[in-house]
Amino acid sequence: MNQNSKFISLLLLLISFFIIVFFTSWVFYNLQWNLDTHWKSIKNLEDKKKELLKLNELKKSLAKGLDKEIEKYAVSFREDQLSAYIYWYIEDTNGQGWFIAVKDLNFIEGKINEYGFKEGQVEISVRVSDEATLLRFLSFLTSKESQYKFFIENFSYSDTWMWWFNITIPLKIFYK
Amino acid sequence: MAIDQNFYADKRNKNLLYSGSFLLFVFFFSGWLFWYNLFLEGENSNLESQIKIQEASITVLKSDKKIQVKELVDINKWALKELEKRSDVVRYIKYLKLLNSKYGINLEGFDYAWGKISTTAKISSDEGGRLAYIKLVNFIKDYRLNKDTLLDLMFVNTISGHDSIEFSANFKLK
Repeated sequence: MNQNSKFISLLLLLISFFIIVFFTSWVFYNLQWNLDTHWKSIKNLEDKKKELLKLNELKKSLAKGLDKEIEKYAVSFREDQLSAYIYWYIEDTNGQGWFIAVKDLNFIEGKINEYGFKEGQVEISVRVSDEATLLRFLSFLTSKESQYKFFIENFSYSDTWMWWFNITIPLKIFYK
Repeated sequence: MAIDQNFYADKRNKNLLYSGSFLLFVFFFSGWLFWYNLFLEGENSNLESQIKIQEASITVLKSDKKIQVKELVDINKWALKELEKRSDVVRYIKYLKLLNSKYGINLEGFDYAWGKISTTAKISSDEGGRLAYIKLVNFIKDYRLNKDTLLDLMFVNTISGHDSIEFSANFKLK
């Protein structure tokens, strides 16, 4: 009886250690991993919720069409619309004491540039009656009110005006 | 001296009790850990599915053209501002005309490329007796000293003429 009691005590201890080594430690290891995953997932979910909220707010504000700058970049590169835009200005302003006429319009569709936009090229060759007319036309193209986002990286002209000057304006247009 | 038989019997019972209690503790503690682990696995898989739902909504929103544009504009804010500034050729042409009247010189032609403007400066002596070279020196010195200029005047390498002076005036955007 005495020997049995001692043996059972030892056996119970042995079973306890066996459980600790082969089961509890494994569960504990998994628990650590699951806890790490849990906190990371909670943070990830919070970040995603914030991003979604921000995007929803952005979509609402953009839907109102208040950000004219974004509207300019969101245009399509269409030769019909671009030529209509340029001819419309010329037709609308001619006959007010000055004159401007289109010689050539060249359009080159864009490839994605370093900024992530498509970069198209529009080359406008015009005949203008005087310098002020040219400056007005350039202002129309690059002003904040312009329908398109045109950039000028190079441009040259001679300001020794005679009568009718041929000017070429190379423009870059960023669009999506 | 008589040996107390109950002393050993009690000790053996206590040992049995301690080891039994320890086993029970290990058993319940491990069981609790196992249950908590299962609970966490369920929670994690629930979180994962919520993240996937959010990601799907984000992908839908990001496919909107205007949102893509807005993101690109925000990322390239300073570069686009710089490009916009460099495209304002009308401002630079008007500024050069202002210099003409201010310094009594004539900046002819306008050749603009990659932030650099090249013109030809022509200076003549006044009928009032103001010599061309004085106007030239005054222009270069005064312009360089002025910190509020729109453009930087680059180094002038060659100056030609006497009564009528001509040189290449090159400017750089600030």
